[in-house]
Amino acid sequence: MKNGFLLLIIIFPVYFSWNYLPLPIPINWNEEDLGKIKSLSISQLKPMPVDPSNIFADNEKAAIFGHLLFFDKRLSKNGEISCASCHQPSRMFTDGEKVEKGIGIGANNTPTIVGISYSPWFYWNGRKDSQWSQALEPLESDHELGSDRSLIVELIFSDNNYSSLYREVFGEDSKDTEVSFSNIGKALAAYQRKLIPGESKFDKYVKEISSSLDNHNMILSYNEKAGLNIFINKGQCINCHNGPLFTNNAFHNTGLLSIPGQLPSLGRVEGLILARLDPFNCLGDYSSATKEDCQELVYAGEGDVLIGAHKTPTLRNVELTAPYMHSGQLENLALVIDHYNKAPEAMIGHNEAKSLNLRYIEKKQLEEFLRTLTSPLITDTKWMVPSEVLN
Amino acid sequence: MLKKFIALFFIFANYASSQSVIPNLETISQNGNVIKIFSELRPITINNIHNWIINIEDSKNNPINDLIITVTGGMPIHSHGLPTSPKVTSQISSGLYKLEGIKFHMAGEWEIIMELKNDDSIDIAKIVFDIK
Repeated sequence: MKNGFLLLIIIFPVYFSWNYLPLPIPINWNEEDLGKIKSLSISQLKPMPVDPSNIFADNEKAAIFGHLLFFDKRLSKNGEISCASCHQPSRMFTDGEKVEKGIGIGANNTPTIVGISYSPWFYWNGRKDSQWSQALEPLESDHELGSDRSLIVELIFSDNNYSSLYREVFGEDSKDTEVSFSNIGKALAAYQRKLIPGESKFDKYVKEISSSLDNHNMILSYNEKAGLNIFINKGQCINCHNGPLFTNNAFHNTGLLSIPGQLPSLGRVEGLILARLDPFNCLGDYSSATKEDCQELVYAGEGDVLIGAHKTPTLRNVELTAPYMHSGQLENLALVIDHYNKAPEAMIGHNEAKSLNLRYIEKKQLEEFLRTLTSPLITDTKWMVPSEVLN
Repeated sequence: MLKKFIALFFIFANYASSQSVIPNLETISQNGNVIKIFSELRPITINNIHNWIINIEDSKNNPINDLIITVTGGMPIHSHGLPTSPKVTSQISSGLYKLEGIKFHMAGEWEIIMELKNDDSIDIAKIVFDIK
């Protein structure tokens, strides 16, 4: 009995320390670590990729038109929902809800659209291959704006400001509703291309260590640096959350449970079928791209590995975009980290992730690092509010 | 040999620089054929879809023509394949084939398997390489 008690008072502090106390050792980056850390810096972000399927993508007038449309509730069936109802600027263009809530309730979480113009695929399952074709779907989706293309085109040409902007950008209105409708998507995309993340605390840290190997600077705390170390090494987060936007824009099955009452999402397997059937895809009649420009669609990956796979989201501003995962299954960052730490069996398909064996303190450190990725947008503030607020 | 060098030089004129005549990757197939890969991206980086030119010669430097080439691959350590389905779309000159739509979405060790088929035989070539 006495021995058991003695054993307990020895084991308990050891167990407690192992789980809850940070290792009192300095974090020194080796050359490989430094390469990984620098690759994540926002300074590595390349100029916005050209969208060959949308020749108006970088047209300033188209962006002004798209900006007006983005905040306009008249585009919805009931006049109460706009794109900005779910993509709220104050929430880093998300809505804080588990799943999208427009006219009805959808099945997926609203992702941030900040920096998403760099992605070749849109939606969690990648069922759209351009930002402009993505912008069209919510307009007609029953649970989002619930309208239809004819009504929307009619609205554009019955509004003096819209019709004059439309003609200025796209020329005379087409008799083909689909052409006008696709141009509305192209204007919305031109606006959304303005939404780019800026420099975070993490980026300032990278700038500092790039000029010195001394790791004693004060920009990141010990725990934040330890979290960064876990992110690029033991946690393997960088495998998918790579590059300056912390995403490879690829599709992975990470063993998420479906939300109660829903069947598990087929993910990319379904998304690719829909993308190929989409009349507004890169190869379609409403795209300005040549076949050579549509390599992502033409050579899209296939196979069983994509069953239940969803797109890797950006981690920039991640602390502001809860809840997480494709159906908002996980309410906070601690639960997300726990999920990856356990790497449970997938409901369908195969979970690519493997359990990480992170200690409690390591999970906290990783979470602290993720919070260093918060930053204001570099976007001019005029794009962040409805234009009538500016006038 | 000189003709081949000139052909390669011009083919890769739009593949960045004169360094392009140095292959990015090289391997010997099961049947002893020499496979050289010239990538549009130098160095090969993650998250960029791009094209390769594959040069195939026998051990005596004779080009091998009229092959049907199938390319697969992945990251064995993560048990996943390529994020795209690249295809050899044409033979552009003697022993030179164009592969379109290749992409890598993670840093680390990748494996590319090439099945080289003609009327008489099937040959397999494997290349293992690291992307930073």
